[in-house]
Amino acid sequence: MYLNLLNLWPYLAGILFIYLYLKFQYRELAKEILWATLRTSIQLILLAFALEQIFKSQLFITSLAISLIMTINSSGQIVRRSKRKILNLFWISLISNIFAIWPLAALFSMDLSLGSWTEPQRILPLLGMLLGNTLSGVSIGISNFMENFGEKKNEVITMMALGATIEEASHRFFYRALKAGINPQINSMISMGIISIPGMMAGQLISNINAMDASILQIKMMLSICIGTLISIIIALKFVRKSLFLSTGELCS
Amino acid sequence: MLVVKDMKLLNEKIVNFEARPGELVFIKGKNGSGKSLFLKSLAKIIPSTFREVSLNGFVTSDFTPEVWRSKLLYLPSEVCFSELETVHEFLNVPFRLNCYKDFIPSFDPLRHLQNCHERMDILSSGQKQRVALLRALSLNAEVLLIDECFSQIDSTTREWFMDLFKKFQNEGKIILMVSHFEIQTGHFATREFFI
Repeated sequence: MYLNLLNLWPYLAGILFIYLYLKFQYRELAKEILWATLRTSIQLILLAFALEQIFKSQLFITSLAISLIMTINSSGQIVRRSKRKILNLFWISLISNIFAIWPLAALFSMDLSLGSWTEPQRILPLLGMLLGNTLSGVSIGISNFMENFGEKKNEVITMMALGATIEEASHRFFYRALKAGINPQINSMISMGIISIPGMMAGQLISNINAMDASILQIKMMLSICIGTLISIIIALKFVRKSLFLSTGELCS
Repeated sequence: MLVVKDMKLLNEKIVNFEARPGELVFIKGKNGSGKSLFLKSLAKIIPSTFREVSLNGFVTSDFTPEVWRSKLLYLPSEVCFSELETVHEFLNVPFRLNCYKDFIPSFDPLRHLQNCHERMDILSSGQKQRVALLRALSLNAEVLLIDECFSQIDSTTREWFMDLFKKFQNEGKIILMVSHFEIQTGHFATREFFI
């Protein structure tokens, strides 16, 4: 069963060739490429082993438990990527992921496999795709907001002094952060099909699935990612903004 | 009447202060003594603890923070504006806010400005401060908290503003001002307060 793994050898040989070529002049880069190759291969093989076991179960509780582990990991990743220390960022990310991505993954799974949407094999791949794609949007959004807020605090003070509410005082930063977070997604939606064919669709085309079906599924995926990214950035930014002010309305010192 | 009792600033300094309607008080003190902290704390922009802060008998908790800040208007020395904003747009920023929705200004700053269609970023630092001061005056606040807003303004304009302030004092407004300049104000209800 695992003889399939041997099929990887030409690809690994290619990387090895590049490693040997780069090793003398760009030693560091060569090492990084080799390390990344090992990581991606081992991680995906381990994932396959894990998924085989998980997919044996058809229980909703298994889906729920694995979803929680994936979401916790994704929130941890957002915290690691953040350059600034933000109070409760882990919980902010977790809540925004659960409220934005989980319902979307559930709806998407219902659409694709109505009767068995709660099974791990149906819902987990969709949740993984959504979480992975929204992660960078949320990270970029939060960093952009914090950077602007830190650098242009006087702008916030001026607006507050004029009698602006917290929302009014930070409106411009909120908009900029939302735009920075969603822009990569918008760009990828615009270039879709003209410049790029995404991995998921390419995989389906190669597996001889009807091109129109593959396209429709890809459209559903792109729109879900866009909605998920937007909702999670908005939820996360609202919580981050709240954490910068006291409940009595003053700026946190 | 503005009353401040036992206000503990972020630099741990404790301030007790009172000002009667129509008073202009110069806040004096060394660099870092907490003059700006005092003004920002009064406007509830930064946190502080206190036994009492009240304006004409009303305490801070009688109002939302936004309404309190519109009554005690803080004016920072640095003038902030959006990219490509004109003077006219800059003057109208407050009127887009919820707390000035139905507000009718009693004082029109445009009467004192000729360059209302110019962009804010091409004005000199002194001109920007002048526009920001006029905007603050147009908002009809009961207390003006002016934080070194004369630093770039020439002496003639400074005198002109001091005359304008007298009109506001006559209406019972209180002005608290941090300024490193020795301003000749005559004998008109002014005093100094040291922090």
